[in-house]
Amino acid sequence: MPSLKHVKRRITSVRSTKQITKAMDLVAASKLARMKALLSSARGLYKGADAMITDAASFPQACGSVYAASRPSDKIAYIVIASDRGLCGGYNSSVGKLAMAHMQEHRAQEQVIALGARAASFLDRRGKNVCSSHSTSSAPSYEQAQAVARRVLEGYMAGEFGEVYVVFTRFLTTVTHQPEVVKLLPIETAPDNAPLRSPVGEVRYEPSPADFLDSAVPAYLEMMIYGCVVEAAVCEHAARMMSMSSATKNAQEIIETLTLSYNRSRQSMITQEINEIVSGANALN
Amino acid sequence: MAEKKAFNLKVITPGGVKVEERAEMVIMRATTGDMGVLPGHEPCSAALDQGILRITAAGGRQRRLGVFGGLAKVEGDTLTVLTGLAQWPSEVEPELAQAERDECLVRLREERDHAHTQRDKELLNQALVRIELSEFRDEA
Repeated sequence: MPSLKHVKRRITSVRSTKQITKAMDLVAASKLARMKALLSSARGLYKGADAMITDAASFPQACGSVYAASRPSDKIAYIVIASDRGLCGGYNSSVGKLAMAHMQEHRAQEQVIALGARAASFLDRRGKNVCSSHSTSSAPSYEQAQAVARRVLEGYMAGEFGEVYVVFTRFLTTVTHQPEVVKLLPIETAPDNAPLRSPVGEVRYEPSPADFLDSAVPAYLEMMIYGCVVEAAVCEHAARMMSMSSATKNAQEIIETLTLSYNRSRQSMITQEINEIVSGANALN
Repeated sequence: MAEKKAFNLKVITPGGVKVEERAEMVIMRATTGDMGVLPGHEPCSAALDQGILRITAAGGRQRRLGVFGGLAKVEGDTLTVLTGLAQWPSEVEPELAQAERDECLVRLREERDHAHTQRDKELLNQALVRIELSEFRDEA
């Protein structure tokens, strides 16, 4: 049986860990509330942009766009969005595993733009070509999304890579998060042999759907990347909150078990001492 | 007097909905040129350039909003503008915009690669829109 001193030390240690996890839980909960508010506006932005581009691309004439044509390069660029820090359960590893599975399936040379130090280190350790890494510890900013979109567009137009995917976690509910891979470039258009759509009652694109795509895709990319970063940030804080909340609960259970064992040991020592005193007194009588 | 016809205008930015009101007319700077929207406009989509969105709200009040790129869609009774940044004239600091313009002009005089030059041109255009916008600070 461990000594009383040893048990006492463990209780103190677990109690201080519990204080940290509880503080982290509260911080994550407050950040989650802020991110959820941001998510509702980000969804309005990126889902609106996605709907516009999907509609324009559904016209067979859209295949004339520079963003719809396949590029000569067989390399693939991945924007992988995870966290800068750990202590958020399986959040980082599930994104990394999905990215790895997609890369293995496509068997092409990859260029990774990592958002989040954990994404960069996860893929770097597995021998993937991480060409740039950005921090995600501060609140998502549109400027960061613009910088990443610019980098991707430059690389795509220069023929550095022929396809662009974003790997991120979509927020469904506080307890349900869905890691996803979304293709950003080239824009999927209707096949050449698709029947021409009647322009009556349809959305008009001036001068043509292909020209609209040419000028709209840079803004679309910024909005999509920003949307994915915000979705991922909400998931990160929700995952951290759940993980810290369960760590706090576990710490409480350990404290209760240790306190019980401490009290039992103390009681048995007292009982033993009484026994010794009584038997000593009896021996004297 | 009969009230003039109006439509819904919604400007969405990363920070949330910037404008949501009934408007009689909106003129915006599309990449293909200025584009005016009146009630009953046919459904259309456009990519936006950096420029000033001129809003005539229901009731005749005129306002200007700086819109720095984005997308616009007219569908049914609603014009939706999606943009990364939108600013009212009161949110613009004219001195900062002028400083930005001067910095961009200095950088553009230096010989730099294509990507940097393009970026500086965008920033210069942004600063010029801000300077123009700041002239309407009293309007709001």
